[in-house]
Amino acid sequence: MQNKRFLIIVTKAPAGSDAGPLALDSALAAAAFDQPVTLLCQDEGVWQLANTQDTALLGSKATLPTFGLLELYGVEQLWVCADSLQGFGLKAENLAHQPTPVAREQILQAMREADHVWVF
Amino acid sequence: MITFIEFAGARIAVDAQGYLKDYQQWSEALAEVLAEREGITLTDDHWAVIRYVRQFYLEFNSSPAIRPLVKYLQHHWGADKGNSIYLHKLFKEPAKQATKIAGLPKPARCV
Repeated sequence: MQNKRFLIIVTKAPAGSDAGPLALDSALAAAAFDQPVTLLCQDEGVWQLANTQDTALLGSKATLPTFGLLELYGVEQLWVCADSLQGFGLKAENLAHQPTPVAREQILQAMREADHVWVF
Repeated sequence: MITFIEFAGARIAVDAQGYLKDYQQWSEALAEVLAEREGITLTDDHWAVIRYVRQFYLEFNSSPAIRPLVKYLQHHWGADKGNSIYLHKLFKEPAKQATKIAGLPKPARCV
């Protein structure tokens, strides 16, 4: 099977939409077929990785622990948009799963190089 | 469709495929009953897998499909037992059956 490069972007906050689980499922599915995947959290999507979430209060299933599956599926590129982080006043220590902060230029380049860009 | 397993004087709800509705109702004694329903007699080797499957769920909030389960076991056990062949010797359908006997929801992903 020919490799296709996937750039999967989650732009929504964890509560109030299922963008997080959907983006994650897509990333894991593509990775299961050994396709190179980059998962990027951008805009409000950076909150997906915030390590202060308490979904028990909402009675909904937490997505944050499931991001830990990326590594098991061989997804090494978990990115966060550095500008979005700065916009929300978030720092690396506020995030779980050690994502790589990336600059706008790097994101644009990844978009140009990817065969598929999926935005959730 | 919900059915019930009569167990230790309680009624344990399972779905149509026999997965527990509430993973917190699980106990090791109940696992023996769940295994029996699958036609499996649990050995120490089965138990080791079942405990890791349960640990996997608690860590990732997700039931393991076969691929990540193999990788996970590889990581904890090395390649000797962390491989698909070993798991298939123990379970006909490793991810599905080990998950079911561990009292967890059916894996959402097939891969």
